[in-house]
Amino acid sequence: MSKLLRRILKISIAPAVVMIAGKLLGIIIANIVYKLDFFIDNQIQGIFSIQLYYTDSTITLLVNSVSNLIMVLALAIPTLYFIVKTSIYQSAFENPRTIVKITRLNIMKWITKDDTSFLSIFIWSCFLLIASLVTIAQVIQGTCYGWVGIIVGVLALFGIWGTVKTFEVEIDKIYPREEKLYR
Amino acid sequence: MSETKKNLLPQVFEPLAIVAILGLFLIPTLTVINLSPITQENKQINVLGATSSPHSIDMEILNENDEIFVSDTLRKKRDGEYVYSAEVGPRKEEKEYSKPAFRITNRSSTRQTLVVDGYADSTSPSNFSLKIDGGWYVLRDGSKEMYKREIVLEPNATKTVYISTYSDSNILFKEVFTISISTQ
Repeated sequence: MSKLLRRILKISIAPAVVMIAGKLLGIIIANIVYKLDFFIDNQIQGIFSIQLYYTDSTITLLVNSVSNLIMVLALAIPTLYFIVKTSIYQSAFENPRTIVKITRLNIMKWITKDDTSFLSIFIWSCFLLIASLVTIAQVIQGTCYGWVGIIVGVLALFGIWGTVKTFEVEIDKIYPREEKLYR
Repeated sequence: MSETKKNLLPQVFEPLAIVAILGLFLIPTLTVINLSPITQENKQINVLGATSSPHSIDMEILNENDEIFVSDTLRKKRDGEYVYSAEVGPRKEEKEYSKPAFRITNRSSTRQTLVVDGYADSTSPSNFSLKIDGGWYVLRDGSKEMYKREIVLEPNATKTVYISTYSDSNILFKEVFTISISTQ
């Protein structure tokens, strides 16, 4: 088995778990905070046989929105952290002022080791994008608040933009741009 | 021979690894979609799928315009217990008046027996009856006597119930007739 496949498998486990855990946690938090009564039904049709349901559509909307938001945030925070960390790491190479700022902020360990690869950022971004698409689809269906859809959409765009930027940085490492070489 | 085996193993595992990666993306997506709650009414079914509620009858008021029976209402008191009420206007002697009042549906898979009784808020000598499929169920007769009647509903059967009144003398004032319907 190739090294790349093994790495993808290894990296994908964490965001997959975070995605499910985030959704589940969101449902639990919404039920506890708003003191809601939820019901479980056994549906024979479909892939899964268990369905969570509420008898009031406004409660369903609330729980779905809260859980979707928590799920996307749980994926977006690590993704954006990896992107920022990689950007700072790269910037520290090129710009001494970045090192000064990093020292002031006491985050030197961010640039002492490059443990975040493009592959990690790409996989986390993929999961963020999937979660965002599911949420936006539910906003269109009317089962999630519109403002949640907007927040999620913005986060997904940031994720995609960060991944593309990281990709450019990685490409520059292999094929440096001419203006960088002859500055 | 052993060298050939060594080289083949990665080739065997690679498609499996691709499937596993696809699974890692698909399973959370499907799980999240499935975890999204939906809105639905509580069903009262037991483990065998049969309705556990013994009172699974549905009643629906027909609300048809009528000159004599006006302002009729149907209220669900509790599961399997309904109250129908209608205002009965002034009417002529020896003339029968009737109107389709409500519809009863037996949603269960068993035969249901409904107990029906009615009372008027007046002392007039009016007869009040229910008419179902050509059968008469007298609830109050001319001597102001009240009767309790039983209506049998077959599984999944729907019946339209007519309310009817008759009097030997002219009735010059309004009266309210109330019918109580409950499952046995």
